[in-house]
Amino acid sequence: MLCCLVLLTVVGFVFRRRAADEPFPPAARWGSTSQPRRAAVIPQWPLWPGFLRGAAVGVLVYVVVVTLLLATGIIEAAASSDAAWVARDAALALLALAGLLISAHGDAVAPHSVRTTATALVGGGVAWTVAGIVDMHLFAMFEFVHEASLHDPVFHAAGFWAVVAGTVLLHSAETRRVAPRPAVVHATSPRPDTQ
Amino acid sequence: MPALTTKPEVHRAPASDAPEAMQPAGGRAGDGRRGERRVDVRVPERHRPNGPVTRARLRRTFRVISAGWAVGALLTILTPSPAATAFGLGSLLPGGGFAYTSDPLFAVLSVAAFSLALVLYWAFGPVLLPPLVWIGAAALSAYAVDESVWEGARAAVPAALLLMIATGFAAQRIRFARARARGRALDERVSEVRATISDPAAIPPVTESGSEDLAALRYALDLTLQPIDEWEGFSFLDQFREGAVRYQLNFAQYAMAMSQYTRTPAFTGYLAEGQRNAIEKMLDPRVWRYWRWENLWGNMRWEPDPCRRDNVMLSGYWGVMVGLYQSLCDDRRYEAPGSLTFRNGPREVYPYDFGSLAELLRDHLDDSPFCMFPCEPSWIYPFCSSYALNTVILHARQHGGDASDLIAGYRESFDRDFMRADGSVVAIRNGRLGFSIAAAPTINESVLVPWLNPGMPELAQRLWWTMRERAIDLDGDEVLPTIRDLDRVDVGNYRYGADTFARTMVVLAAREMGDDEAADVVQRSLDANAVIERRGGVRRYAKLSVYGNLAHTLARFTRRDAMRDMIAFDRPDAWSTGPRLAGAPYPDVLVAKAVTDGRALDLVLRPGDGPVRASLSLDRLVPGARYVVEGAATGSVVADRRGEAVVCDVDLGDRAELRVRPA
Repeated sequence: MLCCLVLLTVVGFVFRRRAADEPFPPAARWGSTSQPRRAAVIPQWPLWPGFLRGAAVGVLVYVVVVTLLLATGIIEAAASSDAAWVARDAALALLALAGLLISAHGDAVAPHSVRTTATALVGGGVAWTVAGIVDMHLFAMFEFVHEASLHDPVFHAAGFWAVVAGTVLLHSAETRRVAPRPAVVHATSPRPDTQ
Repeated sequence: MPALTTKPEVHRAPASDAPEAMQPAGGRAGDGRRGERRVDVRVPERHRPNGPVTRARLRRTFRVISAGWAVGALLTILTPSPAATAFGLGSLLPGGGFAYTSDPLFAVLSVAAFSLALVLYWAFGPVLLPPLVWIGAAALSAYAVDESVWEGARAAVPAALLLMIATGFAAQRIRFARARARGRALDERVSEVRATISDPAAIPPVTESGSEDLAALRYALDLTLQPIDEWEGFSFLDQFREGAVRYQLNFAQYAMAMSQYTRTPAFTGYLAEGQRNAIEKMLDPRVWRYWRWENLWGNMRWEPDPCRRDNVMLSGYWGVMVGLYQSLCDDRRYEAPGSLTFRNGPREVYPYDFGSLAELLRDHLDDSPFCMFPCEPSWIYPFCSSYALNTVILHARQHGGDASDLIAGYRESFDRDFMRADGSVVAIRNGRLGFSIAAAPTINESVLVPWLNPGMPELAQRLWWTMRERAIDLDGDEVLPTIRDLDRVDVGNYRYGADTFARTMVVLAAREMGDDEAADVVQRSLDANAVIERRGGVRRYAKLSVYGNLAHTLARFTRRDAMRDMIAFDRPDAWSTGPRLAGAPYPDVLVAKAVTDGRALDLVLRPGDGPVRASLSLDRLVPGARYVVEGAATGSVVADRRGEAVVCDVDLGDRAELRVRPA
């Protein structure tokens, strides 16, 4: 049951495009000679291109930061083989490239907005967190020189906080973007009091 | 308790369960209903936790998983390689390999990932995801192995597996024993219930809608009277789960159909157009295109046709929409071949009509050993399959067919494989693997009651009264004291917290069962906690999903056995031949009541947007005949050659009665 609740929460969050209630439908008319009113369409840009783009950028930033940390001696390489580093860099570069290419198909016409920034932050944060855990704890590619320091948790938490920041931004953007329109009603025959 | 035997013939639906054609005529009930007879609502006693088909599925699943365990155990025992040992232990249990490689973090992550994969499998049907995650985690642990291994894992992981298996079996036995005890206790209480079923009156009751009824109906009308390609006010979340727009269309049409049946059987006009629009909006690719992906990752087939396989969550619900519309509006347009065609560009065309859809659903039900078929690949929900069954019943009734074989099969399967020993219902079962998972119990059982009532009224009565005993306390501070966490989800928008959706479904079930006492109490509890929003003469509950609001509108227009009468029984001849109101401007003229006795037409109208002078179109008059119009400035009309006429100058300031009768 707990799993179902967790899933419903996740599904609800991921798929919810509108934090507010749906607006009332437009007041319909039937039996009128006038043309139907065109409904206002609220653009529904998909979230995934921004997420993928953010993830791609997150991977690239991650690679650069790790390189800088290596260069400054804050971390040291644990993997002895250069081939392992080459394979790891190539894999990360391919992932970033794939993310950028796929995301380019998704929102060619989507305007830049808080939503795109927010989803990019979420994507980047997820990419950072996953890459860090896999790099350090699965493949043991590097480790912090001072194990007892706060470097390790701070390093991983950076991704987590990016996800939180993106989520908050996205939530506020979604709350703002829905605004019901006033209905327009046309009488279909003259009213007695207007004659 | 009546014994639940495994002999198939015992659970054939009794004659009283069969729809119209087989119903015996009998005495008259107090409200004009005929042939009232008492039914036994005690829970059938079970001697085993699962039914025969479920047991066969579970045995097969256990054999397949056991083979994987055997391979893992052999790798662990026979090979000296640490990598093979890690893979073997990972094959025994998700995370077992990482226990061996001394990576507790990844062991926990593996368990979490596998759990998430199972949940995603339930939600969206990707059948390969759980085994891939499981085997993938085992492979990763083999890759990550180094000199720091924990040899104790060789014993600990198999021991944990054996402990889990033993615990699982023991828990099942304990749950079953407790459920039997609860079932016996429940029997004591429900044996006093005088539950009855009956056939509809010769002329079903038609009542007048109040202003609140009309305001609620206008929500469905405003949604569906938009042009086909416009969707303002609908909720677009995902198209896979319960938040999908298809359910909003389904329940908009069901609500309008129910209002037509119980309030305005002699009115088509915008009420019929709204229903048609709902039916035809289902053909929009945005509504059904999700299926190609579910079918691909769930059934490993590229077959975008949304009705060809599984997906009763679309086809069954849609079939009921079409069948109800055709029955209530006497409009056979959806009988024409290709009249219900799914198109996604010029090359993707899937033509259907009511007949071919009903035939397909019949085949799907018939071919399944459960007499039910899946929504998402693998996942069978009895209440979703009940819509497929009702489609078949609707089609059979309107074409002189017979659905009794399917009704019997469904009933048999339901009692054997979807009922628990305490009378509660297994809401979700994996048709491939056999296991079931938890669902919102109150919502699930409430939804089932009205949709089982057309074909299996005895079963619907049993479900309602046992659920009422278990879950409803009319005298307590909390009317639904046992409501569970999952019932606090509004499945139409995935919001968690309020149980308005669950209460809505309980009201619907209670109204259909004629238990107005329970319906009123639950409705009051709903009103006490929900906020009503109004705009331009339309009302709805704030925070309740579109789906939930439309379900509540359906409940509002439901009366005792309304769903059963509407689906399983023909309408009176007078309703199919008498004059009807075929056109009135909306929202200027709201139709609170429209009924015909075969010759005259009686209307109660209300203005929807202030005082108005309107014209009304009538049809199914006798061609060339003169009709007196009482209640309008036009004293009389003459029907044209098609039997149609227009009544001009109907002044509506407030409620107005109009009668059109032969001169």
